[in-house]
Amino acid sequence: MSDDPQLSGKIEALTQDAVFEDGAMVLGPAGAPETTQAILRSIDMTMLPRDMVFAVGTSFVTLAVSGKRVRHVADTSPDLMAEGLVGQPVNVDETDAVQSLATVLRALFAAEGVLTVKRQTASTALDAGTAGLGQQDLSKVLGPPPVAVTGSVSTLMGDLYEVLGGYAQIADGAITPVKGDADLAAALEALGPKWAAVSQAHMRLRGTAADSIVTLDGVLPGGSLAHFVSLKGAQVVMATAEGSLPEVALAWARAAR
Amino acid sequence: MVQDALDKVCNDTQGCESLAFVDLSTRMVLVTNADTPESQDTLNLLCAEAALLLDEGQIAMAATADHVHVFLRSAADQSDALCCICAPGTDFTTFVPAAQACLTAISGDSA
Repeated sequence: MSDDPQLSGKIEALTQDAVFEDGAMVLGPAGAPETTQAILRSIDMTMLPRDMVFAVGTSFVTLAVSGKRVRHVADTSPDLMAEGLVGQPVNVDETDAVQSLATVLRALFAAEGVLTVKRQTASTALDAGTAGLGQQDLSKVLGPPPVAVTGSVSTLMGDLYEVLGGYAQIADGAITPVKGDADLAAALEALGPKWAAVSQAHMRLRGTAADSIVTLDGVLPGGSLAHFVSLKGAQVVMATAEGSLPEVALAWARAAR
Repeated sequence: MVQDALDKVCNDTQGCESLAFVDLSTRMVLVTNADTPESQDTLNLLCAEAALLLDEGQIAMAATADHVHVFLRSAADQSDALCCICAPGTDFTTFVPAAQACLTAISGDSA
């Protein structure tokens, strides 16, 4: 049974002017802090077992939710590269799975477009216990919402779709993985100190440029190349496949025009 | 001759402005293409940039909106490297393999 504040919250949510598109409720622009809060609220209001499909365009994450808690990831779109996470339970003490879930959600939040949610009857039986992640747990894991990657950086990464393994945002010297599998996300995050040293030395040699890309080899697993991009005010580090430097150079020339 | 090999790659690639064959261990520019417009100071800076960015790898790049610097390290001799200055419009899909083949040839010759 709900207590009074919970009940009033539910009534308020049910009576507000919700906007629907193709049966999915519009939560707001992906990446906006209020949208992330709306996602957490929608999970917190879900008691009965439901598959909640959070989508931005063709990218989606389906979370199996019951008793106000995310129990597992039921499905994801292929572009989020998180097939290994599907079906795995997510609990606070299962750090790898929780971090992978956070990476997938950040990738979805960073997409360009409007984020929607569609509720479906749960495809599998779900626990009613205290396992899974509640609103507070998810909020801690996700941290502050990432800034959506838009404009020229988005175009650059779109041009490199076939060779792009993942990327992370750089803000205040910290690297926050957005897209890529768990191993790559960890490797990108660990590049912080290396990039701090290289960028300082490079700046002493070349000075600062408003828009630039610096590519390093041998710092990521599997022969991937790391590209530190500063473009039109956005800063990211991208990982692309071994041998992809010509494609990156061409894409850079188009994006930096 | 090494310079002939550098000249051929540079002349065959529209947008290639300079090629410098360098020794990373001493940070010394050994040979450049004949028509490079770069000063010795600029080439020395390019060599220092190569040593910094090729620290752990075989290939690196530093680019702005105006220029693309590509750095290749020789597999045969880890001290040998090729530094390339190109315009953004260069066809890198043909240039990079050609520069790698050139480096393989001249690094073997210079050993």
